[in-house]
Amino acid sequence: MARKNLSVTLKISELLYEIRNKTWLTGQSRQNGQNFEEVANMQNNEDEEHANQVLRSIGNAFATLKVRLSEYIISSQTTANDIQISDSSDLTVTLVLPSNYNQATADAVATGCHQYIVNTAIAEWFTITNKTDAADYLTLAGANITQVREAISKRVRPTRVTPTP
Amino acid sequence: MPCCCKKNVQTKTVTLVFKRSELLYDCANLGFVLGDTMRTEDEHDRHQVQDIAEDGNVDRVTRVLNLTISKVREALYPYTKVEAENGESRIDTLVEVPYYTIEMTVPEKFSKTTQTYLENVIHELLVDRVMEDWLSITYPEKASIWRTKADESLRQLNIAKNFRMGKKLRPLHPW
Repeated sequence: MARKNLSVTLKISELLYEIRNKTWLTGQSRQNGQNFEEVANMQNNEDEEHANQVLRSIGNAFATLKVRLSEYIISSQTTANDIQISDSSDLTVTLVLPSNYNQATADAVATGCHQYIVNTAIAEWFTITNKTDAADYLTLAGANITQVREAISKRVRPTRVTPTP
Repeated sequence: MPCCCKKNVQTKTVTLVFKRSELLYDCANLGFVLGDTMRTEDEHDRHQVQDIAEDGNVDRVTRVLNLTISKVREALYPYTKVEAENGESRIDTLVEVPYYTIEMTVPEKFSKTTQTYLENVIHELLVDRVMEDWLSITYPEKASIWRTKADESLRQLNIAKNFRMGKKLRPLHPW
């Protein structure tokens, strides 16, 4: 049975935007008129130290994602390193799926991977800047990876090939 | 010297053919339904049952099909026996054939309806054995159902192989 390849591309700009937007909104909603510095710290921005931290978190989350999906990844990689990912290169992973994989879930796989990385990165960011909310994002990330694995596990009924006379 | 009582026995040759794609379809279809009706929230457990005919997994299925077809040939030994060749050697390389065939030399009184029945029973037996084996790995609590089905199919095969259209005549012996 021919396998189906599903190439998932995660745009780094989309990941960064959502992380920054969510942390900005969280900061806005946590303002009490006196905690200006705390609010500013929890709002991730494009400053170098902020960007480096969040890019490192995205890289970590992407590596973990590949571990969780390793059943479907074929790689001949022989070297590895710990260099921080760049903010100009997108993240791609090709999933090698069985022929009866239900392709209707392809979008759910991509959005689930996106959400997993975003929530994991925010959890790490909030562990530093806003500890109260960090656990919520870890829980969300856990739910996201379960959803991705569920989507990948969906199958279609086999179809019978009518014999030719 | 050949046995004198056999010299007048009339025979005919029949061939039963089992298409691999039909067998795999049945297995995949059963696997899909079994996975779909599985009482679990774990999609991973479910898809392992449903992926019975997928790459890699199908190699195990092929082994079981090859083994079962050999068992069937042995069960039909009176009609399928082929003399071994001197110095013959065998190798266990996985062989995947598009058709499984069972060539039988049957008595003249062997009924066409029996051939049809055998064909259906053997198809069922092949599928049952594959399901039994696969479920023993991926869904053990259901494997015994398929073992029972397979044993029953084999029992039916052993009964059916002795059906005849007319009376079975035993040659008279002078002593």
